[in-house]
Amino acid sequence: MRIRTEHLFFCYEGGRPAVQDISLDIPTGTLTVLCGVNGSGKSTLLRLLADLAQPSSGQILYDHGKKTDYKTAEAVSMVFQQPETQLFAGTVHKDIEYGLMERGVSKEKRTEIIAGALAKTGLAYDEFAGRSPFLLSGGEKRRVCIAGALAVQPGLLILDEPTAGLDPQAAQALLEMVQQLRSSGLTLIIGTHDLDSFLPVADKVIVMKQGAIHYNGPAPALTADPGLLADAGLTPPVYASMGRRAVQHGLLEAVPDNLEELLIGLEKHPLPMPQTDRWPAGTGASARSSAMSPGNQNTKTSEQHSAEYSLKGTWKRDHSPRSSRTERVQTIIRPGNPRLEQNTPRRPGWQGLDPRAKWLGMILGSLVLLGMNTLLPLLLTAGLLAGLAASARISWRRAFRFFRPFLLMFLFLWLLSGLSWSSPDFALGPLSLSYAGLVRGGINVLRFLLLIALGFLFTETTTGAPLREGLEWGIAPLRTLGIRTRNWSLAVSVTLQFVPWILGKLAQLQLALGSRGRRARGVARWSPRQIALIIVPLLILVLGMGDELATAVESRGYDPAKQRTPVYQLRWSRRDTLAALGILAVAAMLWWVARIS
Amino acid sequence: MIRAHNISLSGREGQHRRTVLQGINIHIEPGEWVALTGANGCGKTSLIRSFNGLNTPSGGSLSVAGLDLRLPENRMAVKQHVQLVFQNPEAQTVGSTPFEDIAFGLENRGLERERMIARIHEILQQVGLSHKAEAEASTLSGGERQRLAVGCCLALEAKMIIFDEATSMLDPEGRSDILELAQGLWQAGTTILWVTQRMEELAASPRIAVLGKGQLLYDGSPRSLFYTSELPENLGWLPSPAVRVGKLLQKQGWPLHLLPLTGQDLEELL
Repeated sequence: MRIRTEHLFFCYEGGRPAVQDISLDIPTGTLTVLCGVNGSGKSTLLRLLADLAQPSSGQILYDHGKKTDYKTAEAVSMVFQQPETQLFAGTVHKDIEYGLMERGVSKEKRTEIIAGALAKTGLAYDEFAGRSPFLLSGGEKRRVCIAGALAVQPGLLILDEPTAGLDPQAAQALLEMVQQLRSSGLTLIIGTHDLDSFLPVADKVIVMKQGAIHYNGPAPALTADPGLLADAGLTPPVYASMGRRAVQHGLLEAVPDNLEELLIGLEKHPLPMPQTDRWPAGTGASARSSAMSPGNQNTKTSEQHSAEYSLKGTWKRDHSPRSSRTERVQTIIRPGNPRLEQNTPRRPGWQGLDPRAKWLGMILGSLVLLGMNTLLPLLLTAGLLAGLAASARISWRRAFRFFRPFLLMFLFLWLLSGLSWSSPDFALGPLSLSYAGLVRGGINVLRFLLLIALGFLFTETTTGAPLREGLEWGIAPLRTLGIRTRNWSLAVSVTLQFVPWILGKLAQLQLALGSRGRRARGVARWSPRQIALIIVPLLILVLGMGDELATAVESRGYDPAKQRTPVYQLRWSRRDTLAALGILAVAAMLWWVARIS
Repeated sequence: MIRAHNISLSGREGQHRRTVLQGINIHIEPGEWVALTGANGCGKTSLIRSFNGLNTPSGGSLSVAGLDLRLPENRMAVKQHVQLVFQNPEAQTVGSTPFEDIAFGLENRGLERERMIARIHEILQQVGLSHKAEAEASTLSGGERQRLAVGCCLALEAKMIIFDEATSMLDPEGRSDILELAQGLWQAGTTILWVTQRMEELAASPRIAVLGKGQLLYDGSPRSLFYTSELPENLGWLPSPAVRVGKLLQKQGWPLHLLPLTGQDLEELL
């Protein structure tokens, strides 16, 4: 499939363009390597090409001739860097089947197609089809993702960092697989940092720099010019930098296009052997003496070790072309921040309020909210919370991003509670609804939304440590009952940090799901079916995360039985008393309004 | 620092446990840099977690920083000496800001507050995160999170830091940041165990240990591993470009001690 783009621009909400003025022409059956440092717009461009994001301006033309039956953008498959956020189903078979079902491929044909796609990625159907994709190794997961992308017979396959995190054998096998796919006529675009591996096999290389195209052309012309990659912050492949030096020394005539060419060149024109030993005396000799066969290496004494490994300090001491770590550190440190140098970081405004006052507001607010059965107090509370959020300077965009996942679910619940078959007041398509039910349901839904809003407000204005200490203070009396309160407060504060992480993973899962089937946009991404597909992988991610975090907590010497000295000191000031009184007064008023209305 | 004698380790595989490593002997002296490698699932992680008391060997004797880890009470004490930086940057930030995250380890040590705060700022500066002391953890990049994780090891004044494929999920810049940070610590005397799958990082290490088939297949210098042992070939490793050039030079009669291991060595040849 041939892809052309014309003056593509993409801006994230309110930011400067992430990609700008991209005009490309990628011919059918070619392998294009896309590279650039992080933040160069590489990933954004890949998403635009996969039609997973809409350009702010400009257009993409997919020129697929007559062969494909699919809608244009759906002839593009994309595989993302982390396989964990792209696998959904209980078995490999079902996982790959998803894309086929989305495209209406009949059931009889599916098994054959799935087996074919797995075979292309080097996995045997009989061995893998029934296994859970979540329990495979990293390399195997990556292959299943690619098989899922291939099964739908895409005209274009986009791979983002396909070798990241793979062991050397898996990475090598993946490189070979990519070459096979290319020779089968598939058009490929690969975003990667691994220039040594991918440049030699690329038909064309696109280098991105600050959102724009820095270079677009064949790999040899790129590697022959030392400035091109360096300007974009990239390190040239070893064969190119070595080759260029060899050219300068008159050993080679031209910079080689791959490692093999370099080796052939150096075979014909051997390097001059250095006259002096650059390596510390004895290293080579002892290295030779330690050349033992595998398996019986464990008999050396420590003296031998220290003699053999006396390299310390010589190794890569002058390795970095950049300024040293300390210099770099110095440049980014702000001059003394008086607030930080005080005892406890005391933050302005809402952040600075004692967490106990906020906990009080949170608990009282929740209780009062639960007792509200009419619209008026709920609306009052909503107004109050909105005012508080504004005064805490929480941006609307941030709040919206937080609430978005809940909205459709609540809308659905609301409609559900309005359904009435016995005494309908009006009909909405096939559904018959009653006003009374809608009001009742609406109040319930609003109440829950406000409870979530209260929690959101609390966590947005309180970081983990104060939140933990405030809670710890409140539940400390339970310690006399033998309850490990410290475990509880730690668990709560760590769990609350999960929220932004979960939202991030959710977005990744949705993107991956979108690349497998229909490009769902807007509310369609929150349909019950999409949510049902995402829930299992999300749970697996959350459980894995919980396990890893627990290990990290244990590894850092956390012992619930031991005395800790919290860095955050609870300090109740007059401002906190005023806030607590205010909270009590407002809660009482809202409770009263809820009673009388 | 580490004296592992004939240890066995079992790992979880689904419901049942199986022995993943058997008869492992490895000694690591204070101040050494050792690279550890092996295919995915070979038991690397089980082994290194046993070094800071997160796992217990099912057989053999293991002493770390002079503490016999067969005794349960030492498994908590050893964390004072040996710290881990894990692979996943997202799964090791316990605090909600870098400040609070580093504080967490110090709080566990029971340091007094004034000293703790001064120490936190010192460490943030050391790992280059002073300007982000109060940033939300979720806004940190992968490289910044790993630097923060190193900071947490420093907070506990670890004499040895184990990097469990700590750079594998990072981009090249984040990777070289962490590598530089680790090298700085090593040159200041910290013992480093660097677990990696990357050939360049292996070749640059003064000592390499290779795990496979449930045992230690190799423990020695990089030159003898890449230029005289058949192990890399048997394991199906693709040698790094520097080693491939080195093999050619070896064929042309260069002595072992002149053969290049890293891209840097290679550049110095010309």
